[in-house]
Amino acid sequence: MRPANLFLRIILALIPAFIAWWYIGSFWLNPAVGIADGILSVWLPDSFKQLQLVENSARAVTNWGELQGRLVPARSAGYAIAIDSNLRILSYSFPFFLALQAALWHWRPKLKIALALVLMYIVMSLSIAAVSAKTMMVGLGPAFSEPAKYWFVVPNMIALLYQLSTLILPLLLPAFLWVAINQRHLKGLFLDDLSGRDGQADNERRPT
Amino acid sequence: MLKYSSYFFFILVVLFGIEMLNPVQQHVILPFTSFIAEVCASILVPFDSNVIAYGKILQSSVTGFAVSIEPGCNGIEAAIMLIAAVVAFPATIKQKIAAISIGFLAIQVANILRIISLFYLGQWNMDVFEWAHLYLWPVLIMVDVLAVFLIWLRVINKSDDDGSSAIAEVA
Repeated sequence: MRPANLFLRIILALIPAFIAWWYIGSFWLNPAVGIADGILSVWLPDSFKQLQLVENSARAVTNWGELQGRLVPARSAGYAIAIDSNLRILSYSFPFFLALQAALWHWRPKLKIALALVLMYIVMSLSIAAVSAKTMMVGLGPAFSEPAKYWFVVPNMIALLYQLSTLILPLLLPAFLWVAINQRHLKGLFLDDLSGRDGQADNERRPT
Repeated sequence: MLKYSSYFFFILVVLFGIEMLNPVQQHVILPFTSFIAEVCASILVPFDSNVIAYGKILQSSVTGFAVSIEPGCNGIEAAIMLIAAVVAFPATIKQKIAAISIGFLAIQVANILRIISLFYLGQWNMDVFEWAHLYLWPVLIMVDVLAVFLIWLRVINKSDDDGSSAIAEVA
């Protein structure tokens, strides 16, 4: 296969993969939000109360409310401020990975593909925690008091994890896992035909 | 593969950490981002006299719609992924420099196309703009990175008499 053919197939495979991802809804994100909820409860015990899945967003309910223009504990305010984060900026890694697999149409070994999806899901769960932490840090401002109290909450680290979670991981992980899983197959497609071996084999298989 | 992966992720994290440093943002990333905006404007202005560019902002004088090219929208992260993949791979320095140079150029060409397309999509329909901005273009730029990397592997193996040596080393 010529590289141009493979990349054309990837572009074409992206279309149904993204349509399916868009319309399938968000029910499959529930466990990931649950994992992120557990992480945030331990990570940000003072600011964070609960993480809920609302359509395609993670809604972080905080322990803070607003009274007369000032941030006060939610109990005093009578309500809690909640901040939404778009989860699609993380979950699009799944249609991307599936489009890459579909372009090759090489679904073996199935166990490795399943493990890749599980790994992506775990990373997405951690990313949801990082994204929610950053939105709370920005949204609550000075009321986000954990950094002053706990050694394991560093604002720069939250910012770095957010950047890593949104800019790098959703794109890198599917691509990296795809190359890792299909290493031999890609080698056959891209390199063996250089010496004519693959091309000859193809010609032998092709009916005349 | 494990050795390559460890090396790759190590380089990636180091480069990404360097990119996030304030002095690097101030003296490298922001000027580069403004430069990208200037390049986009210089491409657009001859065809569309309604485009105004100032700093990192492109604006339409007719609709008032503007796009601000922020760090994260400048293709640097994609370039970092490519650099980490190339540097971690067993090849000669010359081959690596060639891949990084050509790859960086390919990423920036795709990124300029992205910015220009988003500028017009935003004036047409904000939902489509958001979809293209958040989901479609990042994936297309990653496919661009993959294409550069896999084609580079093909080229370096072609130039090598022992066709399968480089990938075999990674495997």
